[in-house]
Amino acid sequence: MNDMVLQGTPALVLDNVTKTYSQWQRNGKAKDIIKNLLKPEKRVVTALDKVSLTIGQGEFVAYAGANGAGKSTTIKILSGILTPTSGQVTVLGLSPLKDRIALMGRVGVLFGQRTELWWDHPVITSFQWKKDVWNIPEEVYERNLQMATELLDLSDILKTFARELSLGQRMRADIAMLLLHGPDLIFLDEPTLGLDVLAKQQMIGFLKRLNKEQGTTVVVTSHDMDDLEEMAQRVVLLNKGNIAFDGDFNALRDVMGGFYRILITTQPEMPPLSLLDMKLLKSENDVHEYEFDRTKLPIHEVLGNLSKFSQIRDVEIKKAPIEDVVANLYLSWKEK
Amino acid sequence: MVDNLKTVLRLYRRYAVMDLLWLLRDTRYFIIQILSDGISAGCTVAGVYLLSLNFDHFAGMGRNEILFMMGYALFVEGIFNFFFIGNNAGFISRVVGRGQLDHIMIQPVPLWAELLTQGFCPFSGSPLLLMGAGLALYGAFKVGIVMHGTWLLLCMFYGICSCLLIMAFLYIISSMAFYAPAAAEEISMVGKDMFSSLKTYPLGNMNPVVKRVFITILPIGLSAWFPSLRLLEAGVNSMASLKLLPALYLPAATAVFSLLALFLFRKGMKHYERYGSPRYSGFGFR
Repeated sequence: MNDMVLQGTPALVLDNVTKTYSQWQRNGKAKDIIKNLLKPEKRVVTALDKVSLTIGQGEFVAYAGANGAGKSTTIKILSGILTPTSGQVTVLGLSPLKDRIALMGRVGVLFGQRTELWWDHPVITSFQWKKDVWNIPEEVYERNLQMATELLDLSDILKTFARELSLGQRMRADIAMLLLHGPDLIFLDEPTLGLDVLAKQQMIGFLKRLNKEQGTTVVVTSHDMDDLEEMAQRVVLLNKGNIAFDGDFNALRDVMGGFYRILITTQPEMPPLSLLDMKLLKSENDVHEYEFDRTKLPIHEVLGNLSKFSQIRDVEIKKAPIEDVVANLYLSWKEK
Repeated sequence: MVDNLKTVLRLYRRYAVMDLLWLLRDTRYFIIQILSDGISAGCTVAGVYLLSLNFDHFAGMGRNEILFMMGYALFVEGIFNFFFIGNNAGFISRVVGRGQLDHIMIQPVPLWAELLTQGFCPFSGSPLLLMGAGLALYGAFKVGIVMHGTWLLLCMFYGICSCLLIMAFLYIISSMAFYAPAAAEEISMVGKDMFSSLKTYPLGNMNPVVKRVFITILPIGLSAWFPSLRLLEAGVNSMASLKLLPALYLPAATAVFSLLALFLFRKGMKHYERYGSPRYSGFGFR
């Protein structure tokens, strides 16, 4: 089905998209009952505020943001489930609302907290159901089924009833089902939610391979920034319905000052070292963790400073965890 | 048009296969299902028969006529079960109220095609249809109706109209679930219960105003009593004895209710597309 996408057509375009909801406001006081009935108080919630975004074919994009930032709303607008209050949306050159049927034949949507599998049937029956509903040609179905079964290690669970699958197995089966029609673009809303470490690694590995080998465009939302960094090349951060950041993960770190972490192991029972321009974060079992801004204190200077301390036994320098970077970003947005 | 028809047939075939696979998933479950369906259907038939024995000349109908009407009512119930009992297709307020339309909207088929076909249960949903058809035919035989092809076709046509009328009514009231998802989630169940418990009451001796209400805005009388009278008239006398307007009333009412259901459901869908599933609505968070 990849052949059907015109070369040069972006995978999706959001042009000045706004989505507002009306939300009830009640103070819980009995004296306001009449007012609530006659003139109820409402608040307009802006889930997306003039968002413009273009994602090219073959990209792997992380779409992230705090709770209520507008991630799921965007996915629903792109899938034609919701209409934007204003603005234009095209996905694979089609309008999600007007061309819903044609579009759904070319994209895959997975809401991580829900399953598309038939609960009272074995997994393979759900796959056959999908083949009929999507009208997938036999050879395409067989090829994609074989690929998904191999890469997602499904052979043991194909005959198992969906209600008896573990969460990890269910997610793998859902992803496989998503791919049976060979979509050009997939939207994954929290695909790693609740998965254990191994299941998460399998899922991430598979999605990366799918993106690289098949050229499938992937848009994934998650709260787990470490997962997103491992998967995606580009991250779009939403804040209160606006795009607050759009770029790669290194650039995201630079936004917060290009912070690095350094772990210094010293001789037993030594106090933490006093280091210029470095902030001590914690000390535990003779391991002291500091943070420094790489743009203000280059690495060679850090190493030069450390060489003066003979009591150092080991040094490890690493990037600040993306979770911390983003948490600080969220905090700074909240304080504004 | 042809593509849509092909889609509908493909979906019907798939849901029929899934229904059969579900019914035959395990010997023990299959036997329990058959036994419970048999007991349930037997009790229903016995109940209908015993009631008819006690209601000779009740509301202007003889014992066998009541038996026929009750058989017809079961037949209509059977059509409902056959086509709409699976996956809450007949109880659409549940699908709307639980935000499950999202699952249908990400499928590359027209929404109506999926809603029409996803309840199809020709195997697990057929016992009541068979019992109802058998009882209606037995009642017709006892009344002395000569069951020729035209009369049988009319009976089938009226049965389908009555079933569609019930479905249209359920869709109309279920449209409320677009606006108050949690509060109206079970409203189609309540509506269906109303038909199930009231449709076998003959309306012959009722106050004319009440009778009119039951064959217009609350069309319970159109799901068994009214069409049974027309079928009895056509069977006992002749097809030619049927007066045109009363004969066309049920199909016309079905068309009106269906159009109203279509209008309200589409309006509800617009609301759904604008506001989404329950999350942001005051009534609906789940």
